Amino acid sequence: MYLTQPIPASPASTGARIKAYFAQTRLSLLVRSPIALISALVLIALVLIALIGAPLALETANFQSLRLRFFPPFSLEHGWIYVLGADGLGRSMLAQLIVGARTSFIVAGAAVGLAAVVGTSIGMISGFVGGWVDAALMRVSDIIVTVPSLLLALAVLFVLEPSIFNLVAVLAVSRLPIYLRVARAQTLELRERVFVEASRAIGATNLRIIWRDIRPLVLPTVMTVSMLELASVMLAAAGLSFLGVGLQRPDVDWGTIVSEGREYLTRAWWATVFPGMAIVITALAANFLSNWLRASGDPLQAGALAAATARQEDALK
Amino acid sequence: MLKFLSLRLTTSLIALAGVMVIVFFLARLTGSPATLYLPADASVEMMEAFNRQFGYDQPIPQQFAQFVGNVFRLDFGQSLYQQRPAAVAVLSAMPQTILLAAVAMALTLLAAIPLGTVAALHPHSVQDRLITLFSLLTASIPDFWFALVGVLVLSVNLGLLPTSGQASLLSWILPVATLMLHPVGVLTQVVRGAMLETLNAGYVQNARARGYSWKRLAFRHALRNAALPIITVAGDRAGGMVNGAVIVSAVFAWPGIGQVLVDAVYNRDFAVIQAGVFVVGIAVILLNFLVDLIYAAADPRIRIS
Amino acid sequence: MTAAAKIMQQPGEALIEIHDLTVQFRTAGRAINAVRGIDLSIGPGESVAILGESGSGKSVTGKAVMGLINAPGKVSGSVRFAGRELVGLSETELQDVRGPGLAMVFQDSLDALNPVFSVGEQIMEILMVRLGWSREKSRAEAISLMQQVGIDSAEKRLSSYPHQFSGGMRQRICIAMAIALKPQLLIADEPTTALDVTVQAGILKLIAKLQRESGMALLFVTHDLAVARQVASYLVVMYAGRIVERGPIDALYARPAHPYTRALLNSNPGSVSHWSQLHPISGNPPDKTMVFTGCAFADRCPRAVSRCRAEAPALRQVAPGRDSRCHFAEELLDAH
Repeated sequence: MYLTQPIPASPASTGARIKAYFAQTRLSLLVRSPIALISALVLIALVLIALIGAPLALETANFQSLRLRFFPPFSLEHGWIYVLGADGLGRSMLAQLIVGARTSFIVAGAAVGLAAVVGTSIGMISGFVGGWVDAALMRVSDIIVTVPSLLLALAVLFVLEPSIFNLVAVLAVSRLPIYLRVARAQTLELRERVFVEASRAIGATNLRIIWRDIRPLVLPTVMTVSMLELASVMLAAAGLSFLGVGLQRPDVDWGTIVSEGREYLTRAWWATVFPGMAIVITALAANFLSNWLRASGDPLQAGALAAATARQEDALK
Repeated sequence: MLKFLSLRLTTSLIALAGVMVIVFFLARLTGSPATLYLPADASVEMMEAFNRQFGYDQPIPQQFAQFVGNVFRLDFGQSLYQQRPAAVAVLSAMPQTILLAAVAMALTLLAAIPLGTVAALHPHSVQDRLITLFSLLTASIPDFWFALVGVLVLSVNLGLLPTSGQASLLSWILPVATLMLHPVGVLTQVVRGAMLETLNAGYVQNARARGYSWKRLAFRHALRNAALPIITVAGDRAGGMVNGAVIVSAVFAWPGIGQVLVDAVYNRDFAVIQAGVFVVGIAVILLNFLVDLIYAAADPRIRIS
Repeated sequence: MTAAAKIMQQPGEALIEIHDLTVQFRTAGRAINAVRGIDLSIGPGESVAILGESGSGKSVTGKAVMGLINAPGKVSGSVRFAGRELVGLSETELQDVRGPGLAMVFQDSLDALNPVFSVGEQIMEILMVRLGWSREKSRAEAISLMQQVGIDSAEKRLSSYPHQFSGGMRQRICIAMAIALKPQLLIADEPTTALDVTVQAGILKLIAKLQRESGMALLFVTHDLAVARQVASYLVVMYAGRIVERGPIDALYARPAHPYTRALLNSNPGSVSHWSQLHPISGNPPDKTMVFTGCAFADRCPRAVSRCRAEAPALRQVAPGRDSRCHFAEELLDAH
């Protein structure tokens, strides 16, 4: 029992290491980085509005009024809830945006979370175990990458009926390879480090080494990538809803609202522009935050360079 | 070089097999392919007849064997909507998409290389920060919304550009810009990162010690080496332009693979979706292999080994 | 008195005059002092070696002379080369000096050669770009340069790429590139450190021969006293970013005037007759962010007294042609 305890070469508890990571990326300096601070506050505010506001705004969002059809924005004539105007059915744009926010955040958050957990786990196992398991898992990842993500999602959602669950599942699968490659690459590096050798010497099992020694060190990179992915997954989900295979009424996200607004683009620009702006603001805040969070290298490149790394590895063989 | 290329070719063939499996199971996700291939109002008798005719009542392994045979004959069934084989519908649309993507990718590189180089030459400067801001902004704008706002402002309000069609050169501007939106920001950052690394490499410092101009250092010595990751990511994003092509056809009614797929979704034309996934998969695999060839040719360490 | 010492005393004749050269790297609010004020003159045709441990600032000094210190590094002081002040010149202005004036050979030859161009292209490029020669003329000269540095069947190997050569051959190519424009001063930054001992000797002989025949001056940066002795006639010993001792190499070798030089001699396997006489220097070089009140070597010095920690010694002449930065230099000299 005593012998299976991590020996001194094994690093401190997970909590301590995450704390150390934040100290290292200077979370305390968040306050001193205005753009990052504003981005964080914007994201928090949007999430709060989505979670608290959506149930309250639901009824208003679905309230149709012939009198308010194409009611233009920036007027308080019908109360502040119509400050962003109304759509072709006279529904309040602001109320719809609040309701759409909740769905958009749930879909993007769930897809990113699922992809991060599954992709990172597979990536760590793949990198740690190596051999044919690694080769096989990497080929599966290659196959997912081969079919452009939107096309894959389009095809799968065509077959399955549109629902939040299916949308999340499809998005998560198409984003798996990024986490898989990032986690695998880091694990390959960490595997050689002293503390892993030390853990192995005292007879720790592979899964235990992955959990105790590797996961905490892979986590920071995964968190940075996830923040970046939050933006691009939100964009992808909106795109699918825009094409009519993502969410459909009564479920509504920002992409659905753009898609509906598009029908009267020339008549009421606000029905198209505002939901898109909501996506841009959210994605920009997430992108700024991940850009600031970056520990090493550029997060925008992290996913992009996955293919480059694979090719380089083959070239060196 | 042969070793590298045969390794990459093997990977490609495995990916190809994988795409076949995906396409095969796609039709079976709901359990009944007949509901996908036949019009929504088809009777039960029609479905059973369909299942018998195409072997969907056989066990799965036999179905797969038959499916693989069909794939090699490029037989994905008949398009319900277009009244011609699905593979023909998809293949005939490819050239237009390839042309559009090629123009967009060429312009993307033309923009990303100078932008990324300027950023790398002056890291943390005002220019660098502005270029990073530009990259983050492009990554934050949904392409379909960018296209719609482009139409709204430039075509509807200002009347500068046509809203659809591809007759004049002007009508290419918005579709190409939409396709460039996401790749240009990513590639700019990739160029920046790659150039930062090569500009600090020993051979560039050595070349600098020989008294060469910064242009020669950046564009001959550093860029030539940074080209390898840039080529790879450009190839990757060129394949991803099918995503953009779908959006472009949905907004601008631009002909090509995007149009075919959007119509197929709208008309519930499954055979075409299936053929589309397979043909695009093949195209991406071919593109990847082309990039492998360029990659190997560009690096003497691979070419002569 | 050696030729080197003569030139030290007549700075008017110097090819390069370095005065109070300082290199500081400022990062995240910390200032790292790599070089803390160096004075050095090198005459035409003279060969000088800078000796020091890693982190002593010897390599940074060589790069600073070439103007190759990148941000966040900051260079101050003066480097006068052939009457022209180099510190503060723009990259464009430095371009004229680099090549025909100053040339450099780097430590890692694989890293120093561009992997995507053949060695022929890289040598020819210098001649075509800097001298405006034709391709044919540059090609002939490239072959001749490769022969000069001892590469067999040069014409055939012109189209080979760096990765196809051995480490020693690659370093010869780097030397060929450095001497292509017949520089007045060649700076060699540990050119043999990455090589096998057997290959080292050949490269050192080549550098010594080229220096003798062409009459160019040589600034040879190394951590190895035995290597320095093979190519240089004058030795500068650096510690913690400063010169601690300098003089004709044979004189230093016979009678060091600084405890650090003495320690280096004792830790050098080539300079003792039996391994039991080897004494590695205990302790580590000081932190580069530190500011000294006393002698930087005091903490590792076997003869340090309280004065050494309180009062910083100056670099002063302790014997004809000999300078030392030790309060007790004369005692050390007399002890031998």
